[in-house]
Amino acid sequence: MQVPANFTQLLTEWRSGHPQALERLTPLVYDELRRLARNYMRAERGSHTLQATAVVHEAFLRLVQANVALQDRGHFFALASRLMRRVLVDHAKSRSRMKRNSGARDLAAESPGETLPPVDFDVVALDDALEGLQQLEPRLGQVIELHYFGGLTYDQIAAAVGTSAATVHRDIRLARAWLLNEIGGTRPA
Amino acid sequence: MIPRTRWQQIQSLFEQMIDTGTGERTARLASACGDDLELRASVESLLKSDARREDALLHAIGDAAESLLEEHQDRLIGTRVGPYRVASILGHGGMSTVYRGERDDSQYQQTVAIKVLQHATLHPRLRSRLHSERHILATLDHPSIARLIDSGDLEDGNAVSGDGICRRRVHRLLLR
Repeated sequence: MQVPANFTQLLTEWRSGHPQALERLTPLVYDELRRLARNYMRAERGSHTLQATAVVHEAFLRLVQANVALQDRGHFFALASRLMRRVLVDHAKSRSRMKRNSGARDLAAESPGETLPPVDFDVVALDDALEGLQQLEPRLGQVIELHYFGGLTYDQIAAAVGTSAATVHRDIRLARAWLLNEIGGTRPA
Repeated sequence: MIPRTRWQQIQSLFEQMIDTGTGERTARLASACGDDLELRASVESLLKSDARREDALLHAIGDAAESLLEEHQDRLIGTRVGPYRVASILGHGGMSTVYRGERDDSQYQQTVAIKVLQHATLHPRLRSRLHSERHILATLDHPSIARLIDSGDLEDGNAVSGDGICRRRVHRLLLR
């Protein structure tokens, strides 16, 4: 894919409050993430999560010129993380539809005596819970997105959202605990 | 949805507790909550999840990422590689995927293994490793070793996307 020369310009427009810029940015980022995902993701167990987040970084490096303003980087990461989430969730959803249609056996249904441990869930369940968190506390939803789908470090998130790394760390711990409880069905309060 | 004020109480207590040593937590939480047992249970359940070692969020995201990669590998199935049609995936290695290929030109029937090295352009060292493997295999003739039939470059239309040609080294091994 040829990186459009006006990408940074679109990013700046989006940040200055032109929503139509986002409409043009979204497919560019989405395509780039998918393309990079195809090229870079490796099936080596244990490392694929790193690969997924590396894809976001790589997309950033390719799409955004080095001299882009720091605030724009924050916005780009927010956008790229959100899109990465969408790519993975859409994929997981279409995958499970395909399995249902092909009559693939449902392992959980086959062994009614066993229940999966509550910490074992897929990205679609995570997406749903994250939706709830974003309504409850948008800031927590955003740090989770940036950290887990964007692969940003606490320091990078702190710079992107204008807070301290210590606050980011606390936010992530609270958000993660809340999400795990929510997905496990033991919601707080 | 948790009421705003309740959520703020939970949030503030959680943050105080994670800065408190685990030994003192129970007593401090009890005194902070008083007879509000519901509040106490909420914070305790969050602290319990916070103490989990493995990161289930990373696992969920990693599984989806892995599945996305596999879908891409599936795209070769049904396509032609030389005179063979790719029938199924036989297995994945660290660097490559091996497919089952069936001769598809009405000449004769033959089943082969097709080994595809992923991302050869990104990893020049991998490519040279495959070169050596090919050289070695070409000289070997033993019933227990898969014989090299042919090798070459595969142009994967799916991976091109206008970014130049993504060449993958392909080499075909006889399936024994």
